[in-house]
Amino acid sequence: MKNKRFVSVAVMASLMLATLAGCGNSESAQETERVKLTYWAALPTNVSQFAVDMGELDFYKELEKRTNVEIEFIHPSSANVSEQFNVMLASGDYPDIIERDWSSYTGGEEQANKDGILMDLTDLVKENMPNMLNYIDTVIPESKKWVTTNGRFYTIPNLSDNEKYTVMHGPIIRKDLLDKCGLEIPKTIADWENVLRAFKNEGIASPLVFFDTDSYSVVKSFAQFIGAYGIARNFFVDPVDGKVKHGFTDERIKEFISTMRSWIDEGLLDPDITTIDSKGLEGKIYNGEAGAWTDNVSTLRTREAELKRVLPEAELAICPYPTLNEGDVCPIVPFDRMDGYTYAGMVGVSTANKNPERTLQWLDYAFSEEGHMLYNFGIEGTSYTMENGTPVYTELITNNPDGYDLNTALANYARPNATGYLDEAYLAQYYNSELQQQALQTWSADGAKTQPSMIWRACYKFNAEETEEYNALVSQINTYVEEKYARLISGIDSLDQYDKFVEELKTMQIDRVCELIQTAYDRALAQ
Amino acid sequence: MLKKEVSLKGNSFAVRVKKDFLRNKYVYLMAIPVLLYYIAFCYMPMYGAIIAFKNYKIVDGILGSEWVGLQWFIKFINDYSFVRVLKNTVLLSFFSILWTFPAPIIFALFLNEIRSNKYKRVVQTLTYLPHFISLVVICGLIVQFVGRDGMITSILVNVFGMERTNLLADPAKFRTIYILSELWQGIGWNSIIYLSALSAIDLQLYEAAELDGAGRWRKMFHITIPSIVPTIIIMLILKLGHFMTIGYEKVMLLYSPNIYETADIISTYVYRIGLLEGAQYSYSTAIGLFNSIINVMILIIANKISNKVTGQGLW
Repeated sequence: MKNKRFVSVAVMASLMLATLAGCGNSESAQETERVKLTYWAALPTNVSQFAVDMGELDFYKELEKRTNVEIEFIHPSSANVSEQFNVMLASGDYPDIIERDWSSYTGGEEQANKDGILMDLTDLVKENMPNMLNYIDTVIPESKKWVTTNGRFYTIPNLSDNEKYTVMHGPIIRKDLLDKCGLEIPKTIADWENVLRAFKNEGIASPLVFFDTDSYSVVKSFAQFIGAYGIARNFFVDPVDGKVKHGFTDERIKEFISTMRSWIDEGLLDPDITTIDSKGLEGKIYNGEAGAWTDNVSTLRTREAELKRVLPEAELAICPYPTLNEGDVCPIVPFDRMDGYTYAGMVGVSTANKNPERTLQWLDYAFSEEGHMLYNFGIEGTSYTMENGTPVYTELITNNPDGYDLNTALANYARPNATGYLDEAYLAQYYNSELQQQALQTWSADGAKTQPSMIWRACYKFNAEETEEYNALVSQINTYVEEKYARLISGIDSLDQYDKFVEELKTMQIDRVCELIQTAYDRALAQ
Repeated sequence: MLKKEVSLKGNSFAVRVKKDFLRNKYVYLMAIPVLLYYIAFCYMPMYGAIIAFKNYKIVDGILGSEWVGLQWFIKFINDYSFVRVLKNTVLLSFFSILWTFPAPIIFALFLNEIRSNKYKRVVQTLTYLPHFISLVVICGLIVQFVGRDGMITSILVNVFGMERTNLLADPAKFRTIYILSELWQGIGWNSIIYLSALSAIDLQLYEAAELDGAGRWRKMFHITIPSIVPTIIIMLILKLGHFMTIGYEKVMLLYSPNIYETADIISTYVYRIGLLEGAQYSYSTAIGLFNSIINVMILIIANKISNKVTGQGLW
């Protein structure tokens, strides 16, 4: 509700701004010199289905026509984007604009600036990005904390003002099997055990499969079940006492691991989750071998359609995040975005950029009324039409003649997840299946009950010395923990050795890392 | 006579080089691409290795970064993975050479004994085939075959009564899978060089032996094998030269956190530390350099031993 009012205020304000600035701008647009910028970005999977270069997209062609800025894309091969990102940085040859989850750069955006990669945009933003500042101030002022680092702009974000889209991953179950067993949607870990056991008796080979479509790290994918025990798999802030802890060194992990172990022993949880990649696990779903799994909202529509094609009787239902006791709130829910802020489409301007002003003006176009429509809906008359004041995608997008799904068909005309902000009408049409809407409601409702900032990594930012110390310690800890999780869950190591592993982690100074995060976190809270 | 002496005296080193160049200019021309390749891909990158002794920061560049001495090497030696990755690298290499080095030799010897040319060609073609399949495909096949429902797993379960599991999830089985698949991939291809060495043996030796009444085995042990020993020695030294640089791509395509215990080798560790987890350029360079130093030492020692024992070596 409150968002709606903000939106209308924002639209009014931006309209006024546009008319005020209008006369000056339209003239200067003609006069402005043509500029060519290089843009580094991973090729989105939906684009890769029909193009190898984003410069070929009608969207960027139209954008070039309107802004007189030509973009030359540099795409890393999709195999391992983070590897190629690091290689690009090491080469010292930076493109003008780099689209990347900059928080994953060791030390974050601020460190990237200190390392001489990213420009500090704070002053330039004030002069060149009125539309963005206006949007942030009027619609989602609370996001300023996350968008900036210690009050300074190093990157330009992709925003949204809708709290319904915060948790994009969660557990999902085969409703037809559930009905066959005469059971309800599981809420607690004990419910889950019952349901999975019933599935097993129905002859389902792998009642539960954990998998993560985004990465090969299977360990990451059990995030949906570990939260019930009040911990996260990695560093997190305990909602009970506000202390930074690591999931592995917390005693409660034992209970989680022994439960998962017993599920594997009983054949309830797929034993291959720690060794097979996500493609192999997806195969189990389509073979009808899996009864429940963890999934991602964006893949749900194709997942449901594909599953129905191979298994006509299959029906899916969304499950809430499991809890330990009936009526509890799941204490830790993994957030994908929050306070209207996402990592996707986060853009940094490199120090090699000779035209930072023009670059920012170009980026600001995405926040303008006209640019917002182009980024979210594409070209009027081609990819969308206005019906009663709301943009509606045309047949070309919703029922593509080449047989592409909405996600792929739209990729040619619009790029909502790049710079700018997501439109409510886009989200409603994009996540248009009933299942997706259900998933968004259920999972984000779980998220809304917890304190997201507790576990979200953007809520703390290190300073330079902290960064250096953190980097020196954390990668060893991460590799060690990932291996031990896999071995404990698959039963190669027994829980008797747990204390030894914790000892080992202590010698790797895991406590010191917690301390570092705690300091940075407390500092962020005090701000 | 007198004239020649004069010209010899004038033959300083520079003149001789010049003459040689003029005489063999086309040979030198042909060598240029090879030289360029080595300069560009093997010697120029060596300059970057100095960051192993520096605290490399992207902003400061390779020369501008601060010197830290042996800090990264000390860090590696104190790393919890140090003993493990070193052990795994050495063991995997050692067992790999132990099995995959003699196999092609034996294979070539037997192939040499086959009389039917047609049959010989069929066998050769079939054994070369896996060599031409891309490594990614090979590893995909291996993962499928030894998976929980894979063909090989099923055979082991049904014939030998083994418990049904994913074989690649068991740290104890990784090396066996790695080496057996290596054998399958390389046995035919690696036997080519021995087959060519075998075809160069003078047939008169065999005829003489036959006159003396030698049988097939005798001929093999007293003529065939001694004739190809130089080839075997050179191949062994070359193989030892790669001792520490076993194909990390293959390991990476096969391993998972479950089996890091036996499968994580120095090069895969460098990859994870250097390129995946937070880009620690200096640290991973130091580990890579450490790997190379051991490798060079092994090569020198092997060559020394070979020179002493057989009188043959690379230099």
